[in-house]
Amino acid sequence: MSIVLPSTEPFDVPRAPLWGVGQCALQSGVVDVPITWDEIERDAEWLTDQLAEYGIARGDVVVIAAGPAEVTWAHPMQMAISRLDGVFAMAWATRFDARRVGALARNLRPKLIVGIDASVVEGLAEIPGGVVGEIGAVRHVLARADAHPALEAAGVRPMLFDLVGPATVVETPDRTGARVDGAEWRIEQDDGALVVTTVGDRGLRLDATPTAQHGSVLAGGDAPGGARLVIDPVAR
Amino acid sequence: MAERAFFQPDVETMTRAGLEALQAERLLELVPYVYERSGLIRQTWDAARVHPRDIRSLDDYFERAPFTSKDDVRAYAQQHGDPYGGVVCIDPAHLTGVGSTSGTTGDPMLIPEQWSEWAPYSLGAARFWWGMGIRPGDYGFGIWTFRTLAYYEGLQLCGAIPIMYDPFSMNWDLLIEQVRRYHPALLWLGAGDIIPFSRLAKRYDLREELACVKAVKYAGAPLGTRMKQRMTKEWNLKVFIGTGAGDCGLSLECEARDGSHIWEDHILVEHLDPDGAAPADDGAVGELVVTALANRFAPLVRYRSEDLIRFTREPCRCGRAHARQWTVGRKGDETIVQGRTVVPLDVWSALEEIAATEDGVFQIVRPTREVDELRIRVGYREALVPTERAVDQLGEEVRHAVHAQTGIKPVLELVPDSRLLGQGPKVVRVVKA
Repeated sequence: MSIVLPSTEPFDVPRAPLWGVGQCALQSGVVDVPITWDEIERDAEWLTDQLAEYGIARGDVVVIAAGPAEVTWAHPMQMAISRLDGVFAMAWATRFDARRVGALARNLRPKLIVGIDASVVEGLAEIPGGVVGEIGAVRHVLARADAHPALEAAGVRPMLFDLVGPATVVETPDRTGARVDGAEWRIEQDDGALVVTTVGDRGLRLDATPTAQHGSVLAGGDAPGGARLVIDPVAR
Repeated sequence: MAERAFFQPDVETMTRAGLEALQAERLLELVPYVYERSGLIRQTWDAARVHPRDIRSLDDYFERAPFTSKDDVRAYAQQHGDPYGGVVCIDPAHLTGVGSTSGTTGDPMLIPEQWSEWAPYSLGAARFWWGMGIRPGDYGFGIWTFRTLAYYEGLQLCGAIPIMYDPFSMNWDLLIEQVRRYHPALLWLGAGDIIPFSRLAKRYDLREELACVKAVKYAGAPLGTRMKQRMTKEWNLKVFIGTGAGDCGLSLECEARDGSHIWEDHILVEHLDPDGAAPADDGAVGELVVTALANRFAPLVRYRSEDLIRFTREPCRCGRAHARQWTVGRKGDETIVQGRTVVPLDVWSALEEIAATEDGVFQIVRPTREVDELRIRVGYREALVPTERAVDQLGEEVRHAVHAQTGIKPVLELVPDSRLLGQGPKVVRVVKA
């Protein structure tokens, strides 16, 4: 049985230099994040390494909860899951789409949910099954900092996933704080605020720029596996 | 390349005869393949005592192949503990992604994918964007959704750059800032965006601000006539109406803007009597029934979409022979009031005539499909209706307008529109209470 291709016609449209333009939250407000194909590729590689520590393998489902403009981490996450032969399922990280997060968790039995925030947890709590009924059986929940208090109150032990400005931070199963890709970003603490500096070759250049996140850097960039940090669970 | 009118001229400009030959070839390959591998199709066809060897032509298929529906998929999922409802034809561990339907009426139906940027969804989107004039180097708004990656990958296939936006937490002034910064060729509006977008007109000269925009893609619910006129005449925008192609792909208007095309090399389309199997006439309201021809991992087969459409296979002025549809509503959204059919668009058309309700924020409230009275909950702009007396007066106007449009005097509940907005990507048009 041959696989039917939609068309046999060759494509000769030149690829744009930029992959796209996303957004991120800094202390000064929302700013655009221009991102190149190379940056997407490097971010996907780094995320692949982080997800590999969760043992994601052939056929494992990972539910991604992201905002409609959060493609600059959501797309590399999809690529990372695919590179590990996993299956990604998608939902919006909004209160009204919590029902979808719950349905995906109940029906697909994911090994990992990544990206849920306080609004999703609020939405889950309103569903008859509640937070535990909907996502309690998921082995690993990588939640944003603002979701941690409500998840913990409900009996779910989340690990940290979040965005510090444009930088994605991911905690690994050893629960030693979230990692950031030190080849791309440096995150430091300045009077409680987390500030970010661009290290890699990226379109968005930041220099110790305060982000909307507060937290602590537990270990610097020279620690094994890179810097470790925690983020305070304040509303984003 | 940049000068050519079509993204894939060979398939986009195929003749009707060419399309049908291609469909027959793909269908006859699909039928035995899917019967062997899809639990739902095996069960459905066996129950109907139909076998793939009975299907030797498109006509055989139209005459004998049994239908499937969302309810069938859900029932199979429940009976067999298969989250994909028996539609997957490969080892599910070899899927790459799972999208889902909106889930307005229950758990969303899962849409399994073996994703690549050349997947029919993205390729279909690229054909549409290219036809609208999107070219390499252009910017265009895109969105990450639970459904598909096509809303940004389609732009990338055209060599364009997606600007991602978040309509739910968006400061809409940011849209204007981004337009000034990037001069995007494509603007993207969903049903829930149309109200905050239209209110930008109070603060900005949209005609001038959006002069760079080659195309506005609108989808999510039918667009009211008056709003469309404002967009096209007042703000000089080219609006392209989009809709779904029965959970198998995208459907969008072309530059002729005379119906939304469905890519028939990807999808075998039927337009049938909503309550039967007979073909509906061109121009008449029928149900969209689809078979995914370019999908070997989880094809929907003779799937009754419950989308009520008007339809034609007449060649389009744009040069394409691919079929066109005009969305009328969802089959489940039809309300029968004392034998008379009312769809949400009827109510919207009436409300558009009144300034305080022209945004079309409303719900039809009905416990069952057939009812004795038309109950509607209508949201009004509070700023335009400052007193109780003004609310009473508005009530009279709305009752009169709905009566004139539908022939039925409605039972009306007026509420500030803020009560109905912000509960999701769009206002749910038909509710039980």
